[in-house]
Amino acid sequence: MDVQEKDEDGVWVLQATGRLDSYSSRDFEQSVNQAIETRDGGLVLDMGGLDYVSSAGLRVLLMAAKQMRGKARPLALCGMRSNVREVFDISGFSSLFEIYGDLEAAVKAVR
Amino acid sequence: MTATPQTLEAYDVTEVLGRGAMGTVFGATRKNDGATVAIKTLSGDLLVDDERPDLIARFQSEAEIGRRLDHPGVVKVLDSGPLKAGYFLVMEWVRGTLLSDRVGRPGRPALSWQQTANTLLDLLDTLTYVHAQGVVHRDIKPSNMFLLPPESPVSIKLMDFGVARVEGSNLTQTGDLVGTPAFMSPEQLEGRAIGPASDLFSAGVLLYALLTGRRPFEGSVASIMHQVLYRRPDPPSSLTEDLPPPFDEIVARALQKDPANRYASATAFAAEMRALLQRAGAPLPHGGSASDSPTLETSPGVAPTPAQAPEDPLTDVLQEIAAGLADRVTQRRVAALEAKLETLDKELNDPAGRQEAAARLLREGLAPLLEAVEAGAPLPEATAAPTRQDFVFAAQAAERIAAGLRNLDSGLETAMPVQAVSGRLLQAALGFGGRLSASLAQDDDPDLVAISANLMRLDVLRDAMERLGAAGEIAALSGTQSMVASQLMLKVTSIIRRYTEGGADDLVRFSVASLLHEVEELLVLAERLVDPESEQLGAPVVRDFIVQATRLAEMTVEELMQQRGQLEARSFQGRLMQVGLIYLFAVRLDSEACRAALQDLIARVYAKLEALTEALCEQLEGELGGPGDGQVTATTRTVLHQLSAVHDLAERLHWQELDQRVMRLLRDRVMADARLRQLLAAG
Repeated sequence: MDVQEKDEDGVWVLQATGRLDSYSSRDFEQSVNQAIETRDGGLVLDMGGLDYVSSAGLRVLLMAAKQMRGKARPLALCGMRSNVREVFDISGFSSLFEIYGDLEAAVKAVR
Repeated sequence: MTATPQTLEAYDVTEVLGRGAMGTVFGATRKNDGATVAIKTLSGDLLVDDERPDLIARFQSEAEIGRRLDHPGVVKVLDSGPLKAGYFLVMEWVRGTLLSDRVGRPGRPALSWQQTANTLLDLLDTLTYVHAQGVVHRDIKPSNMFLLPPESPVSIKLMDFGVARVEGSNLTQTGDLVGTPAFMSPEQLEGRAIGPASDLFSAGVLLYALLTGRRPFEGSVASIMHQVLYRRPDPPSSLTEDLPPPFDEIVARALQKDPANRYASATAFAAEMRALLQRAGAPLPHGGSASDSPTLETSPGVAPTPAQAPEDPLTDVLQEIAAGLADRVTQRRVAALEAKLETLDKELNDPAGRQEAAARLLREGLAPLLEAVEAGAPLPEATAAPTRQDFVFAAQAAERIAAGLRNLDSGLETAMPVQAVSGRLLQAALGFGGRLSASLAQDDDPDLVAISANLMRLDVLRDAMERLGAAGEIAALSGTQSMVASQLMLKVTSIIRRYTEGGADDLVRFSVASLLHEVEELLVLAERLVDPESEQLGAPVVRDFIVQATRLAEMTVEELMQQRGQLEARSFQGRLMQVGLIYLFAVRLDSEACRAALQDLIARVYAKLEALTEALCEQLEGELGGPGDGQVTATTRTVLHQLSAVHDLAERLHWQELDQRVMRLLRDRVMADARLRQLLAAG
């Protein structure tokens, strides 16, 4: 898995590609935590490049949601492929995040 | 180097960056100057005895070489020292991506050819320096390189000099077989003396992989060895469209089997690459970065519509709620609502007016919002029912309104409607726990994936209750989750126990295989149970599972031992993979309470596989030991496939000793035996 980071109109964006599973979730958690700690304001997790998300990956996202809520900062996800979206729907996680079709809408929502 | 602390006490560990089978990589701060560093540790207690001295020697060698090298393209080693039964290495902090994450897929490389060429030119520049220092890296491959952000002075940094060779040193001698077969040069594979040309071959393999998204030599380890030694790969342009033609020539020259026919040096390789691309009218843009944005799926995102101009503060609040209910409650809406509630609180001063506003807000704001929360909850077992995608945010909005109402009219009972809804949601969750409990008592084939999804749904419910401030319900829900997780783990353990204690009929074997296939779910389940909240009850349940899983893995390898040379390749590979999954579980689960059991599992599984590998190697020696003019028997083919499966697993799990044992034997046999070469050439 790979995580690229960038500033998009003042919003910090993490773009993950590959598989988010028990092997990669620690690295991903690290990147997300670091972004939460070192950046201010909203955060967008662009999932467009993720081929697969396992339960272990979902747990990392749950932690991120809790942390951002604790800091009263908005978090949005975007660009999910249909198989990943299905995992979110089945696990009820679609109700836990603001999910947008594309990056532009997600950035706008948390700016 | 100056002021080397050589003890971990000189650092504050801040985070875990990664865990492997043999140790951990930490992020840390150096106490004396606050510098951020990465610390790689080799944990002696995670190692099996056979591997320890060799791995420690490599770690030390990596430290020594790392200290000698000072180049922007090499990850700097700052400090190193012994640990209890292990070793540590402190390195500069690198912010980048592993190049292995940017190779792409066959025919769809992740980097453009310009980015690839720039990356390779930077690698060649680094290799020019490394080779001039008398060091040959010997393990050039994407996972040993960091791709740096675009603003960096170089595009890559090379790391892991653990198997590097230093001129005049006897640390890694001729005859050793270290490295990664798919990236090794023929002379390295053959165990001959190697020089800088070997790294240039590996750089050629890397270039090929980055240009095409596919390695030039692929397949089983025996087949890879055969190809590295004897086969010329298809030109890159046959796999990727629109590549400038000179790349075929560059790759062909770098991948010459005879080192004398390759580029004379890293500098010559780089110079020729620049010149050929220039001549072909494909000059390189300077500093092409490798961080293109991936293509996004697009769909019309729903942006919140601005509320109409307010008539009065109460209408303003009610409009905000209505808009959220009609569309969706977003985090932005919750924040706006909060601000509007504050305005309402400030602007309404007359007690009667406040009471009236509170009553209306309760009726027209809180009530419909709570109704939406209840109707849209993602309850367990209700995956087909429609849920509100803004469920947790609607809950959060409800809590804010309830708090606003209490401010407006302290006599108003707002806790009741909130409690009523959270109470009913809890009942639904408890009902699920009860039904699951009953079904687990009867069902011998629990659907791990479905139950895990339902536990996740309870996580979402719990999050909503946290937002609603329903403390009592949260505790009860958490208890239900622990109970379900613990019962499920006990069930899984009992199924494995039936296998280990009662012998394996096909049905039990199938059940066990499907459980292990969901190792991701087992890990999450175990993590729930060893969570500090539930550890006291949960840890013994997980330990019991680990003990049974250890036994299962041992039995599986014993069966494979009995059927070596007989069991057909796919079955052998499948069962071996089960053992690998059990091992992965042990390596990936992070639990102090289960540490001893996990270490026992790791050591036992390794010992069994070591014995199996040895037996398979001996059998292949025996099969091929006779005169080299007979036919290759079916048993030989089977043993060869089985050994390849062992190699694949050993490589994946970083068992270097086993990996090398298999590679050495296969290499010797592929080179010595014409029958085997014919077999491999025929695929």
